[in-house]
Amino acid sequence: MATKTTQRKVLAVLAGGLVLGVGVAGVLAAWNDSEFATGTFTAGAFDLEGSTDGTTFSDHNVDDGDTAAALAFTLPAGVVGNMSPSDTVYAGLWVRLAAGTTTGADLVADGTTADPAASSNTDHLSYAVYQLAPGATCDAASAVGTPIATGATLDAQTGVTTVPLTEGATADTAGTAVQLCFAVTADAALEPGLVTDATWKFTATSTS
Amino acid sequence: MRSRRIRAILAGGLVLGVGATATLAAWNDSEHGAATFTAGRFDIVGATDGTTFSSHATAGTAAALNFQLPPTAMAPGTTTYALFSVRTANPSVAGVLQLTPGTPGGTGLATYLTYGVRTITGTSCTAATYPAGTAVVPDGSTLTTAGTTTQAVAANGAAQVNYCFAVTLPTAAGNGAQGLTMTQTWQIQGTSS
Repeated sequence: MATKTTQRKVLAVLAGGLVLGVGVAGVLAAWNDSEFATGTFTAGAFDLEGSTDGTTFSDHNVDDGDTAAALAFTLPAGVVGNMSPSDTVYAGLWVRLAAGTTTGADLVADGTTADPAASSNTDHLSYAVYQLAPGATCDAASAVGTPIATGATLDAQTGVTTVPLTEGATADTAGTAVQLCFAVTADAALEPGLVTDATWKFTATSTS
Repeated sequence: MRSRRIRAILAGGLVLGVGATATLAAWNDSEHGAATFTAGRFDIVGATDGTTFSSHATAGTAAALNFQLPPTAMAPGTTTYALFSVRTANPSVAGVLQLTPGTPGGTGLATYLTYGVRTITGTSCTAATYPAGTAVVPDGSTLTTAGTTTQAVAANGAAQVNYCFAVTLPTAAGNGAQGLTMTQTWQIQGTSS
């Protein structure tokens, strides 16, 4: 009987303790409310394309497995494919930002690669690249002023100047094309009978 | 005769006793004090324009932030800013606010984007006002970074906390980021104080 009484006392004390514990927990609680905010973000697109005739544009990114655009050196007639010392030939390359591009760009000549000088005329051909309006004809009359890139030989490059490119007004239109006019000149020591290939690289970098 | 005297004395005694009882009585009047106890409320509301506040209490009803440059064609180097103001409702007790980001959605742009959040004094959240703000999330943080400080919010909507969000596509974001999207929800949890 005495044991039962003691048990009851212990239980009573424990119950009191429990009530205290609940009270303490209640003090720690606080009210909560939240606000939620959301944002959606989309990255733009960027694509430079080129054309050798000013009308048919496509990608020629050798780094991505495309083939380089073959420049159409057609002027002056009769000289192309049969160059002799001090002759100069001209060809245009049009570049623009493809439809869907969302940002403008800066275009720069980004080096050249050419056949080894030992087996070609790479060291006897110099070049200069001029910026022309899209509709202009690339020839001796238009290829004047300050070039955007030059090379004393086909595998050299100096005097690189930035050419700004604009994106199209809408997602469905391409940006305004820029014509790059290439003038390649043979020096007096041009070796006869050699075929020389050169590739120019142009890189556009988004600007905004 | 004697018996009558005794009765009279007893009767007098009784009357005296009654009189004594009456003397002990006094006038009474009372005053009553009453009080009603009501629990307060804690309620915070938000606004994306700094003036029109409403409740966005779940992720499903999140307020769409109004980013200054529409972030539909972000390019490397683009930073876009948006305001989110939070205050208590009226009535509401005061509290503190804690910013935490949710899980980013979309097609993977989240791995490129960084962000920062500052509290600013006005409701104009732009590249011009952002630098003067007080940091909540450090600039250049990944989108899963929570606020490193809490902000006190006054009772009864007396003062609003203006969060200025700055989300950046870093200049180092490569060509792989093109065309990707992502959606981010932020929670600002208020706790009563």
